[in-house]
Amino acid sequence: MADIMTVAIVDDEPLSLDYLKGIVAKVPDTEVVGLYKNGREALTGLLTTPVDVLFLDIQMPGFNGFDVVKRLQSDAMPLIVFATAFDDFALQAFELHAVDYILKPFENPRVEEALGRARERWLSQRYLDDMEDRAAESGKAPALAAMEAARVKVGADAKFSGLSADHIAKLPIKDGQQTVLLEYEMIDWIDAAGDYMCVHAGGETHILRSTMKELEQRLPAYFARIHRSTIVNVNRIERVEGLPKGEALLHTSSGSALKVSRNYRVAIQHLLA
Amino acid sequence: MIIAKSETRDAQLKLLRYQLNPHFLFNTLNSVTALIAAERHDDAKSMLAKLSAFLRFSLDSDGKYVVSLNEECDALELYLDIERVRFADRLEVEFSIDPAVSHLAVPSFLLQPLVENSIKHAIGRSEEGGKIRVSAQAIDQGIQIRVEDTGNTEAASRGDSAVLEKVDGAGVGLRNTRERLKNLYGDSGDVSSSRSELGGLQINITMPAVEVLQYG
Repeated sequence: MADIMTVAIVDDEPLSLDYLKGIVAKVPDTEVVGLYKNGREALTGLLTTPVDVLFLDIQMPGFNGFDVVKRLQSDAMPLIVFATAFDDFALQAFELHAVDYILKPFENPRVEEALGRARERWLSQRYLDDMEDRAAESGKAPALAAMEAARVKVGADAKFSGLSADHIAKLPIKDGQQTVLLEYEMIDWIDAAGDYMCVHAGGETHILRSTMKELEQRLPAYFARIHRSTIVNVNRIERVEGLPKGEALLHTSSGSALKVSRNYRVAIQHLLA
Repeated sequence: MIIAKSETRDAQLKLLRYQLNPHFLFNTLNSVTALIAAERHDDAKSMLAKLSAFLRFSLDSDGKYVVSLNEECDALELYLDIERVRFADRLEVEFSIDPAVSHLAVPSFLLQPLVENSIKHAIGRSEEGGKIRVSAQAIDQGIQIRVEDTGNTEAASRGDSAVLEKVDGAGVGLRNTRERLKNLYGDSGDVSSSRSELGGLQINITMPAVEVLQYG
């Protein structure tokens, strides 16, 4: 089993990007496979070159660091280390379940420590992924449920909280003092991130406190679960691309590319028949 | 009574004075560290020298209300030289100062927050970067100074200068500038914003022509 952890770095300052790359490259069993100078480039690059760990600057032109995290599918989400000049965003970063938060000027020991934390999280996640694969092979749903429970313990998946069970044709999303009522058919896809669900609709990402199960029950039949933490509006699927190991990539009309895990592939099987 | 009034004014002026932005300081220190790591020692030394000169200017201007426009622009150039190392080819700068007004007095660090605002909202938010232009000329009532930028494409596509000011977050900075001018010059100092021909925000300052020596 290869223990090389792949890393990408996003920073809009070329000098800083190069410097951090130099520090990371010296850490054993770590390989830098992506360097991006803004959020937009990173989102495009990560689709074709996924990584295990992403060092992410916060203040960048176009999509900033938080925008990048919100737009990435949580099932294909690298471990995030925020890297920035000043700590006025630390709280937000930890709400997004970042592995670490490092400050400029960067220094080697601190970057190594962040990579050490990432490795711990990475190894425990990989263990859980193996369990999921075995569960799928034996076709045992209860094992899947147990795995999801274990994942909650390591803090890698949603901790479930309440959402009113009222059945209406719109999804209420509380945003500060106001509540947005989002029509189901406007939603492109949804993924779970920590204690939150990210609802992607018309280029925007709405954050909702809910569980995957509650949301699944509430949504109409044209929504399908395609991964542990991802639900897609099947009307938005434009193209399905086969991937190795029984996985697939869905391309949506809104320009997103979403991973389908082998275990949930049955959910879109009828589309391919 | 007069003394009390002047003490109040003093306190107000202190409150409105420029404060060093911590982002700038930490980003600069990161750049210096990066230059050393890349063994670009001369560049690192030059950047530290510029940072020192800029910090000295900010300390020296402590307690001074005004400096000459020349001195103010020297400090701006130090600051922009440092930022150019960070942003590389994303930052373009143009100074156009009429020699007839360069020796006249301006409130110290009057332009600094405006230029920082342009860096943050126009250069920092544009993938392709942009340009900042600082210009000054004599007008009938005194001096006119302008700080303009190319904006960010998002705001530029949106419209008028009121929206621009809000979008570009210049609101608070402009209020401070207006207060300082009002405190020093009364009704003969003013600041306004409009759409620059460069595409972004344009800040227009007018103030009376006063010699630095008159402030003692």
